[in-house]
Amino acid sequence: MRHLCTTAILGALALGRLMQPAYSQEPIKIGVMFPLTGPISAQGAPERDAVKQAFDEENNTIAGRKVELLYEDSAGRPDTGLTKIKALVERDKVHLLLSEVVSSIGAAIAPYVSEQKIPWISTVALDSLTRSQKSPYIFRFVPSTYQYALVAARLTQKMGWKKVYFIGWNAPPGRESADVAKKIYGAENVVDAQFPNVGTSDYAPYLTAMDTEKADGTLAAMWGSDAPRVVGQYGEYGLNKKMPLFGIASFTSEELLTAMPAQAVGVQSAYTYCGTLDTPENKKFVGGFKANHDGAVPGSYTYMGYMAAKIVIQALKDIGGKAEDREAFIDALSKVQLKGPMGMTSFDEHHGLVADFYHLTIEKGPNGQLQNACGERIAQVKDPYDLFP
Amino acid sequence: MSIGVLGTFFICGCLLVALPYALSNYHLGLVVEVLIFALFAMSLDLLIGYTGMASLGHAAYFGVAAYATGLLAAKLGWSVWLVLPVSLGAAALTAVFFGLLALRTRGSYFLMITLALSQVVWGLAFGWRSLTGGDDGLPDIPRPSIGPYLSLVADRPFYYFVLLLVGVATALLVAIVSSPFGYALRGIRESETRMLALGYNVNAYKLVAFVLAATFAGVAGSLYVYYTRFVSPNYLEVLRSAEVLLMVILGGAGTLIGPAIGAALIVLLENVVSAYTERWLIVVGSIYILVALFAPRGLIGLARELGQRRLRS
Amino acid sequence: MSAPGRAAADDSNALGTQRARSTDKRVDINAMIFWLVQALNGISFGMLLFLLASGLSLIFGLMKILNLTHGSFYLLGGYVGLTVIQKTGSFVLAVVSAASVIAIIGIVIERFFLRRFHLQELSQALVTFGFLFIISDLTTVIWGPNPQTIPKPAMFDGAVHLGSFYYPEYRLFIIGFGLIIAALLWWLQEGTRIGAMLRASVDDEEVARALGINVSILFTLVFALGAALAALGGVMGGPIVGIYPGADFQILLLGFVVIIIGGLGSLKGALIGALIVGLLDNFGKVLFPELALFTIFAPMALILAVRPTGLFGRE
Repeated sequence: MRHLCTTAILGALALGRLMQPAYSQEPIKIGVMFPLTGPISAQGAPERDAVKQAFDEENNTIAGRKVELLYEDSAGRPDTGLTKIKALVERDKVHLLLSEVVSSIGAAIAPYVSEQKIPWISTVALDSLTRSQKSPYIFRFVPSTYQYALVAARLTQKMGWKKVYFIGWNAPPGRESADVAKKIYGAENVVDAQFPNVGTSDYAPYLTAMDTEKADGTLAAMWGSDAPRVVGQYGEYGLNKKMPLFGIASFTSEELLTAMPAQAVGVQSAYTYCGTLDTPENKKFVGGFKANHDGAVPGSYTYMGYMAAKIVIQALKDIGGKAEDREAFIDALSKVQLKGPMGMTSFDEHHGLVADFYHLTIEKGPNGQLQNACGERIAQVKDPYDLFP
Repeated sequence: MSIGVLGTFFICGCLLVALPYALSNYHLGLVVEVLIFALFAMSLDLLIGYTGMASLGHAAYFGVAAYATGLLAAKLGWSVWLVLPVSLGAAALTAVFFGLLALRTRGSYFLMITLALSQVVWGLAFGWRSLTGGDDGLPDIPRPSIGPYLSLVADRPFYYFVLLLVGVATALLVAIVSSPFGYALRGIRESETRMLALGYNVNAYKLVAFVLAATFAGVAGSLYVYYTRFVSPNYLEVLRSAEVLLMVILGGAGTLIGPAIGAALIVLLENVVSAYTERWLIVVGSIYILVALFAPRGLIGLARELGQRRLRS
Repeated sequence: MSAPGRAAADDSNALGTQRARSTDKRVDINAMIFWLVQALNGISFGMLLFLLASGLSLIFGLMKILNLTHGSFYLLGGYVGLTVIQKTGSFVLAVVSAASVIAIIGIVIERFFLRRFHLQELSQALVTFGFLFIISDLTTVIWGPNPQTIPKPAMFDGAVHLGSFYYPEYRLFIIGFGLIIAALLWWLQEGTRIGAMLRASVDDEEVARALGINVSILFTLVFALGAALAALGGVMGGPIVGIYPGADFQILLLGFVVIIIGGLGSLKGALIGALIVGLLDNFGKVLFPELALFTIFAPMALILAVRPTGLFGRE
């Protein structure tokens, strides 16, 4: 009798053990790849740190399961990026990918990701990810080039600009932004479009060819280390006095403000992140970052990384942590409505970002350092598939 | 060749053939990269180690063949049997042109000129956006298909394709350096004036070596494009020329097998180290310095030295 | 800033021909000013390149070392200068400390890592490349990945404003500074005993040693000087070009282009080459914007086709 009881109890325990899904013991593995060395590390490193911060806030546990973040460095080169992604997917067997900043790397990874059917939440502003390289597994949680350039063009038009100069990178984000400007303003109203190479040190030849009598303002499409240089040299030649500078996308991102010279005050831009937005969520976000970073303020790259991680976390929670079920995961992801420091964000039908934009102007903050003042809010901007298929 | 050396080659060959059954796809991919870069490094060794001409612009030929392959395979859809010869031809032609310009100098001037010329090609790849896609490069390049039924999209058949081509190319390289031509090159490396006095047309020999090296680099370039399935100006950049130069020096110039080992080491270093630390640049840089200090003739040189010391004791 | 051909804003038809004629003159002056500004841009950028290339050229001329770490000296100099200015606010102190610190680092590298590889190019390439990687990553660790700028010294913060000629004072300062350094280096090379020893060692090292010249100390001094010059370039360039990861590779490449064009080992070549590259870069961007990179490399290849040793290089 006693033997029967013990056997029954042991049997029940064993059965219970067997019935528990095997994968809840295995951690959720997420592949995180950004350019961590080289000139683009200025964008990649903050993103990586922000992803880590978001998961730390969840104690690296989702639905009772541990989360393991595996980091790789793409060094800003497409073939390195592809090799590292393959390592993450095939060697480390990650469940999903959270990565990248550089468009050429994004373009190189996309076919592989589609083929491998692995969910990829990207922070690359590459238009093709929701167009020619679209896939059910690819999500872009940052505005596309068409998206952010359209906001800039429309905003400046609303400000009364009729003719503009354009200066942007000799690379797809720069060239496509110019196309948008030409479409919105009309090609004849873009007085001149110049395309310095990425990483140009001396913009003098481009800037001194601009005539302040000919246009109402200048649209600038360059980022990273190039943006503060352009702002500085623009001021050096006295252009900022007559022809305001409007930066496209993350041109005045907070990470770059420390490198901006005094003439940067007054430079405008329009993007999805504004550091000084006075909402409780943003105050918490900024406060948390400042506490861990010696008083430094977060910028748009930190924000992008943070939000991308947050939406992954939300989707994983929605499916109870079953990261192996890729179909359920991508389904959950496409449906998430995520409220963050900057308001509501979600994905559109092609997996592009839908979010609020803010009109930013650089001003001097209370401690004398530069910061972005948050102006007009442009609600729930979508990737403009109709205008730019 | 002694039985011992032949035996070693045979065993290595068997290992390489058996690898796909032992390794995961990811590791197999790494081996493919190692094979391709080993060929690239060996091609440069023909120039540096055997002819005594150090070039900092070897990626130009790697890249020209790569772009030719990318354009012909992706935009024109040509079969690999057409693409390869045309790409190699493009690389060789570029080398003839550049060689005629560069070979009037030697030493550091030659180093600088080869750098300059490769930058011209890089500038073209970067700037001629309508042809080359500019900074973004050319994506979506299809894997080759051998005949109507054998497509090389899958990793294992592609690995064998690469192994076959690299094997044939290596055998050709070994034949070249063991031939009278190869010995003439060594003579030129030791003393050009002596070879001139002996009646050799030194300039012609140097040009032929230059073009041969470029052609083999072109094979590596084509294969790399088929492997990654995209081309970008990174394939031609100075860093790539510098990397392959480092592979040769690290492994040991003038040995063919040294650079192959150097290539394996650098590919593995760059992939393995970065999985453990973000500071992989510092690690790799320190290794370069340590090798320079303690293995000045490269790793092969170090192995030989240790072997000789053991013989002596 | 006015582009050529732009008529005066207050143009009117009332005074007819007379106004038209003076407008033409105004147009000509505007055109001249435009090209003058472009030329000054090219020259000021060229001066930065000269600071870098002069060291590169001197080091090669004497020691036959192609110093791949030279761009790192530029970058590190910029960062050190940045930190000093942030702590003390003095531009002069920043310049002096950057030059000194990097000179010391240069001495250590030369003495302990390069001297033993005298005339062994491949080993030197390996060592200098290794240091390039190490310093590149160290600067990112210490100063972070974000781009930085150095504030201009207050004395040169404004612009020269003469009619429609508007030009930043700081760039003029760079031109002046570069010329002074060039003159100093020239005097050092041609007018001093050390310069004579330098020239003798470059001509024939063995004979120089036989004559009792302490060539080893000369090696170290010249390497330190070259490193200091590069660091100077980094600090001086900080206010216009900025300091950021990757600047070391970019400036090293330009430096090589300069000494290829100017000729290895020649100070005169470094100056002329730097000015040529600066002007080519600037005018290329203005006249042939689509070809921006080509405008430097194509002339370089052309010059080499005609004179493989560069304009002032030795055989």
